[in-house]
Amino acid sequence: MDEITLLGRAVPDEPPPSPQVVARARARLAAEERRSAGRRRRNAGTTSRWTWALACAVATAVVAFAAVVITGGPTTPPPIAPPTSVPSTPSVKPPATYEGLRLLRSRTVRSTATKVTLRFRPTSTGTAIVLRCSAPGSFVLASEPWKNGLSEATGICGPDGTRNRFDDKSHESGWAGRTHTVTFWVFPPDAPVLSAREAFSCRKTLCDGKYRLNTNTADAIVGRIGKRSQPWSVAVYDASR
Amino acid sequence: MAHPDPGPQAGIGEWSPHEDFSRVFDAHFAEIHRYIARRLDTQTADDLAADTFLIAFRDRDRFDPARGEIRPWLYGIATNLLSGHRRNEVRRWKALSRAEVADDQEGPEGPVTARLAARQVTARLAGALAGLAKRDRDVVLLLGLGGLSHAEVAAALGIPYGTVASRLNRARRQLREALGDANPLKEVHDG
Repeated sequence: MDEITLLGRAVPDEPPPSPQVVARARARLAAEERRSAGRRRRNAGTTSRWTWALACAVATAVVAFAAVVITGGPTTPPPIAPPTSVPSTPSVKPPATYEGLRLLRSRTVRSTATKVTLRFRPTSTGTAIVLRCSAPGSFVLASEPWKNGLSEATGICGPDGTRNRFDDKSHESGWAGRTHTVTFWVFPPDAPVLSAREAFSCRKTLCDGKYRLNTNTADAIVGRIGKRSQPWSVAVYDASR
Repeated sequence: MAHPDPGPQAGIGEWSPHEDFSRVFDAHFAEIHRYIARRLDTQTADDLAADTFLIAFRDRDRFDPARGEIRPWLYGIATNLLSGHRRNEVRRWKALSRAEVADDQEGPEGPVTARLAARQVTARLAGALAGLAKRDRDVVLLLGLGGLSHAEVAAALGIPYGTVASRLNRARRQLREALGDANPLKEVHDG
């Protein structure tokens, strides 16, 4: 047995992902497959339009320029139409307790592409912030004012309750005993948001029609997709006194 | 603590991610989740494992079976995603080393021999992992936790085979030094 084998045995093992986690990941993948199929169909359609547009480029130049001036320029991506079929909606009602923690604050919202702001004063450093989204794979943005700026975190949520990574903050010093004002945004799974890898390689706010998810881009994303009837909730849990 | 389970092995050549990606997901999701969870934590693994398969799906046209199999390709994507959590990972290894040491100091009433020695090994290895350069740690953990071969690690990280070997040698030396007196390998050799 060498060091590497020893290492493999010594590092604590972790339980397999829960069925909910697997289902949520599968749902995100399925949504991406549907989006991809849609993009391929659109791209197949645009090939002929591009050919046509190229032939008419000179004739339409003036019209195109006028359209650019009116709409704010070619960098503004077109709005995204919501899906036509509406699946059944899972409950997102926050339970009164979570992993032995008591409910401190919660809000339930009817639509995605919306935000809520919660004010709460935790008494412990074991605070859990649980988001439940009826649409699996929804994007979450959490932000809190911090040192003349914003402390932000992003994540993914689904109906079974996804603890946003933001609650890692509760383990940092100065968390308990002060009032926090945290704003949560939730966007639908097909929102034009850069994935972690895409955001890493994209140094701009907008790449390939997708936004880097942060407080500055949230309104622009809402402008493109509009509100969707997809309930979600956010609940803050804290240790009992 | 169990050996890393390489998970269900896909029959390479029977199918490819270009054809049916859900089979790639079914075959490897749990394994990738486990690898990430052991390096970070379960909750982060929930998100990053899902991200790994989304990225793999989006990049599936770039997957070239001639350059390697699907497993190392997925591990490579997961390892890239982990690089965005480097500080959290180092914090985890440091915490693990402290926690294990603290447990050891609780008192003489517990089982003294094998369990204590195992904890000490874990603590020292975790401390050593925290001190490794990120590129060396990736190699060590792809081998140790992912169960990849040297060639697969090279494919996963997109580096030459020789570079894997040199990084591994450097990391091994540091791990061995960290183990010191608690090194069960030393006992084997001495015995």
